[in-house]
Amino acid sequence: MSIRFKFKSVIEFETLDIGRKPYISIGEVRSRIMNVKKLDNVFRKDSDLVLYDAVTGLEYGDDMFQIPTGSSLIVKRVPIEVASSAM
Amino acid sequence: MASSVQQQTSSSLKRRDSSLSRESDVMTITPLGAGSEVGRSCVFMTFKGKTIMFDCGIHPAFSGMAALPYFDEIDPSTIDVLLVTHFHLDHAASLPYFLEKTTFKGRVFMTHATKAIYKLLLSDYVKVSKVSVEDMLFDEQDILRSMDKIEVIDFHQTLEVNGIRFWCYTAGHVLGAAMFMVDIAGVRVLYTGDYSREEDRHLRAAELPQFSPEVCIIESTYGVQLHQPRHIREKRFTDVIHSTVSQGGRVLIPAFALGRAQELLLILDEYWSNHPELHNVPIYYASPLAKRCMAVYQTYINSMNERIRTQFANSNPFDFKHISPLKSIDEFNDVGPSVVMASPGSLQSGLSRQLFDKWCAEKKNACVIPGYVIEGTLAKMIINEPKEVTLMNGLSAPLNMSVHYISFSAHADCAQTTNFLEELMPPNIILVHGEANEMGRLKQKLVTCFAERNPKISTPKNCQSVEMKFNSVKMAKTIGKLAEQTPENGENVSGLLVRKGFSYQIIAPDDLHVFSQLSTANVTQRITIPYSGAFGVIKHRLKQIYESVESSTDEESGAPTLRVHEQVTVRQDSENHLSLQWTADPIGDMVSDSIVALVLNASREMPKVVVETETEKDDAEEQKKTEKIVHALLLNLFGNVKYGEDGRLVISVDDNVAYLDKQKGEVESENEALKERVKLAFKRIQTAVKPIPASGTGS
Repeated sequence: MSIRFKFKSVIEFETLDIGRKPYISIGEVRSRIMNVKKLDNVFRKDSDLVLYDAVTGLEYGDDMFQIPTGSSLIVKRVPIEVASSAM
Repeated sequence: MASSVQQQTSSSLKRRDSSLSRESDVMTITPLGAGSEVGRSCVFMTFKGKTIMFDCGIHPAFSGMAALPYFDEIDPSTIDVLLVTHFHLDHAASLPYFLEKTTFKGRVFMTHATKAIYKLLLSDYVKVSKVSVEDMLFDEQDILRSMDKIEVIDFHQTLEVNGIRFWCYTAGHVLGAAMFMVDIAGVRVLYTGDYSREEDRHLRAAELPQFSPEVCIIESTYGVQLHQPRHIREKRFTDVIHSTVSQGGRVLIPAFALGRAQELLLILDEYWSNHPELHNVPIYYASPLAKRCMAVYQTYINSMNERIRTQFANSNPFDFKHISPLKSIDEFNDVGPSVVMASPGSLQSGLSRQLFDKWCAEKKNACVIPGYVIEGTLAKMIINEPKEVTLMNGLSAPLNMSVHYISFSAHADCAQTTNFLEELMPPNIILVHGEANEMGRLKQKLVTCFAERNPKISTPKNCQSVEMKFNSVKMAKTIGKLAEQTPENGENVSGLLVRKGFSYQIIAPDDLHVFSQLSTANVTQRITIPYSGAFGVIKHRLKQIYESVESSTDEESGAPTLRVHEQVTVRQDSENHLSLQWTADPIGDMVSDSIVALVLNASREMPKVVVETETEKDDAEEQKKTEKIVHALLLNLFGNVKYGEDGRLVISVDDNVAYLDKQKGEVESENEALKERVKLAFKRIQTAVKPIPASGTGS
């Protein structure tokens, strides 16, 4: 079972294997993509991902929402607003 | 018919709105990287439908996708032009990825030296970064492919792409580094990239642009810090190295193969030449591409400063007497004191890291950090001299070697920045490429410094946009004949718009050669058409179309000629030819085209045409005919057209009534829209009914 995803600025789609279940939650997808792209394993996590449905363009707001195998996603890498102490 | 009046009004309103919103007066500048940070420089700018990206770097503290600028924030396919200032990784290293993997389809520009060194530096980077294949953003092939797409620009050369004009100035900093000035619709933006206003051993100082920009996107790496004078810096550097090797220690200088490394090698070579006691201590310049790097550097000697160019006349200053190249750690014979300059400068991996891991535990050794170190890299961490460090294999080791931070990184310091901005005084300043705290302090300083002129200073974070509104009104001066009388409001002024640099003038065509180096010229055209019929036939036909056809006889040849519409002269050259002659201009061309068509068609018809006698035109009959036509046309347009008591036509559409005086063409009505419509319609009908006037311009 797998889903396709593509970063918004990139041309080609990539495949993400989601295991044996025919569905996966958005939160799970997000952490898997971050893992695959090594965005979580840094000294300072400064990026986050926003996921969109590739067909409708609507944002997936709810992390618990399940998407079925074969779905296509657009991923947007955004900076995390760091609550900084100084100016 | 009633609805058509409303339709016309609303459609004309719609047309006006859309033309205003098509070209926005707002300029948006968004850093996708290096916004309140140092690394992955990438600034996105859009104005009046044109889009530009400045620089395309990676963040040396991250690897893989995390090192990239936030490209997802924008649509790469909308970018017209990508300008890269210099070859440093944090300004150019994501270019192969951007060109190959994203939807970008614009044009890329950089200076000659930048392009040559970019290729070498990135190949070095790919070899040196010890990450697995999947993590690599691009490979050698991508770099080679990107070379084909990169176009070059010379310093002070102005290029224009899709309405965007741009040129570059010397920026100092490294060989080939440029500051880009972009002009869109008269609004200028200066992007400094990394620059330095101080000359060093081989590079020029940054130039001061002769035009003031409206917006300046400037680096703020050193914030409010002030550099030590150059000679003090150099002395500290050589002193540390000298004392370390005298005691038998090794010195590690982590620096990338190209860039500041050359400056340091020049310093070391000179020092060694002056100190014979050090001649048995080897200096190594370690990089897999060491020799090729030097060769490229020597090619661009013309971009360097006067001093080194004169040196070059005698001997190659980059032909070092005391420095040897080193390709890999296996070749390195680690016996006794030595000085090794190895890449990368961040100490994240590669040769410099291998040596660091080997030497860090020995307190006789030293590590001299010669450049700005980025947050998150090992080099930055050891400046604070922690007790322990983590080696590449994961084990911990004590940090006993001494660490010295002596920056030669050729960025502008606070004094240079303030001075630069004072000279240019741009109304908008955007600070990029600086850590958030340093940048904040610099902003405060600039705000107090320039309190009177009060420029707008921004310190945007990544993906945070800065918007600026620009007045798109342009000033043009009229000079010469056109300026003799000041026109009234609403009057038409027509002339030629001449642009010199950034100023505009409106000049009458006859004055053109007086006030500019341009002049007008006349082109006389002549065409010969084969025609074997009677000349009278042509004359007759022409008279049917044109009001003004004058016959005469040519003085030289005695052939009959016709002057049509005061523009074209038709002459019967021989029994088989006609010639047309006219001065080229839109109307003359049109008249001559029509005569040519007429003549060619006339000669095609086989039966001879008899010249008819023209029937006398009865004036009264003409008048009646005209009235009938006018009435019929108006009826067709408005539906309800009657004759009123005072001889005027009464036109009613729905509830609106208009009165049309046919003699004068005046219209009276309470409804403005209807009045205009009737006026326009009547005017058009009038011109259609009358023959083409001789003056040609027509009302």
